[in-house]
Amino acid sequence: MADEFRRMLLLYRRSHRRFRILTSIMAAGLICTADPVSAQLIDDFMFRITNLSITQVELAGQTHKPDFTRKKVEFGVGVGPAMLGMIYQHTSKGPRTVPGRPDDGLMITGGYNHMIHPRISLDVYGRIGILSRTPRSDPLYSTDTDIRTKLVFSHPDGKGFLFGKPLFPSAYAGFILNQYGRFQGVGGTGVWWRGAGLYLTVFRAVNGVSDPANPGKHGDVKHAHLKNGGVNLIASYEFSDLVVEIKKNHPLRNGGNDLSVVLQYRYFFKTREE
Amino acid sequence: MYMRFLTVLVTGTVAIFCSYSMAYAQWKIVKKFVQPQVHILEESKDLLILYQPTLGDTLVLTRERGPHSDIYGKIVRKRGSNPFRIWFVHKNLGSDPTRPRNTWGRFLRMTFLNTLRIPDSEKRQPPESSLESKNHATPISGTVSRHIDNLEDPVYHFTRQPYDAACIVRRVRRL
Repeated sequence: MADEFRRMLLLYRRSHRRFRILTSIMAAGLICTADPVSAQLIDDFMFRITNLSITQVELAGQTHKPDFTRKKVEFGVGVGPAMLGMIYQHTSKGPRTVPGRPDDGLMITGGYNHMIHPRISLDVYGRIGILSRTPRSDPLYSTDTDIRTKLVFSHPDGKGFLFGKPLFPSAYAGFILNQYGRFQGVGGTGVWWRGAGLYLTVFRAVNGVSDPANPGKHGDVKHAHLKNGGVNLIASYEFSDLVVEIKKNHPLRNGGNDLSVVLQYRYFFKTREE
Repeated sequence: MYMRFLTVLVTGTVAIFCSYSMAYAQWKIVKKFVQPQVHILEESKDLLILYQPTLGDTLVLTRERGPHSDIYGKIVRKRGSNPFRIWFVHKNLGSDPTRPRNTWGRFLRMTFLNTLRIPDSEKRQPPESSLESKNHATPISGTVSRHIDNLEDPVYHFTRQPYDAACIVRRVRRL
């Protein structure tokens, strides 16, 4: 039984390059974090799996029906207000989408959260794409390089009650700037109650390509520079350290009508409560 | 229309947050769990004093940790969530043998008490004599004394400074 399992694992490793990449990332992550964890420098680690599928895309007023899925595996560690992580992303296209070639991408992520006031926090998060074989002109490029900043308003004591349990409302406003200079404004609001969260966010690009078929000077990066906009509805539920999240994006102007399902596990080595 | 929707969404939410009074916000949630027979002796931005007539005792809640706190709040940031307040039991209450846990429920409902946390640094420490003793049948917590409650102890006056309503009420009750 053990030999058979080992043989299967070897076969899988040989035939799946992405499995080797993922294993390497995980091993490197564990090695890098082992010492800081023992020194109590790292507060927590996070592991997140996302499955995104797009069945409909709005481009320049026209509707397209691609067959697109993207899987993301994210690993991150937190040190005080900062976090560092890595995202491995695998995209695949079905027969309805051309050209159809699966691709892998790797990104380094970093973030910083600063509490300005118990009710106001500044959140900065960035991604740097370090490995991808797909040209940017491909709508299914598998890495992103961008920075996003949010000013988050929340209530530490909750506001109002529902069935005897406090409701925690929050709102945020910010922007996302990618490496091609596309600037997107984002805003959102949400409510959290007994582990269940419901969030509505809106985003809109202020510059970029409106018609991908005639991208003008941004021909090579038309999709990374798409002048898009949309509304996201997110529902999440957390139990203990696990979080399940479902996110639905509806394009208001250019973009994919996509659905994401996220499973996240976060473990806190220690708390900074005292 | 789309821009208008976004503007209304953001400005509306910010306006709701800004218009909400900063003061006493933390007591609104606490007062939801106060037992009906309990009186509020004092309520200010930083202090809430509860009085239980049957016990003749008071419970002092403070927004932040203070020398006269029985229960105090602290803003906690956890990655992945917004800042939120956690309520802690101060050693003034946690190590007071005259106010055991079963009397706390006379002030506040169990729903709130179950969320209270006791910091490691303020958990009851066994006295030296019990650490050396081999007699494990001796209840450790029962032998702990709260020296700051001794009115003759000069440390009491030091730790209780400045005098506030809570100190006065407690002193009057004990006298």
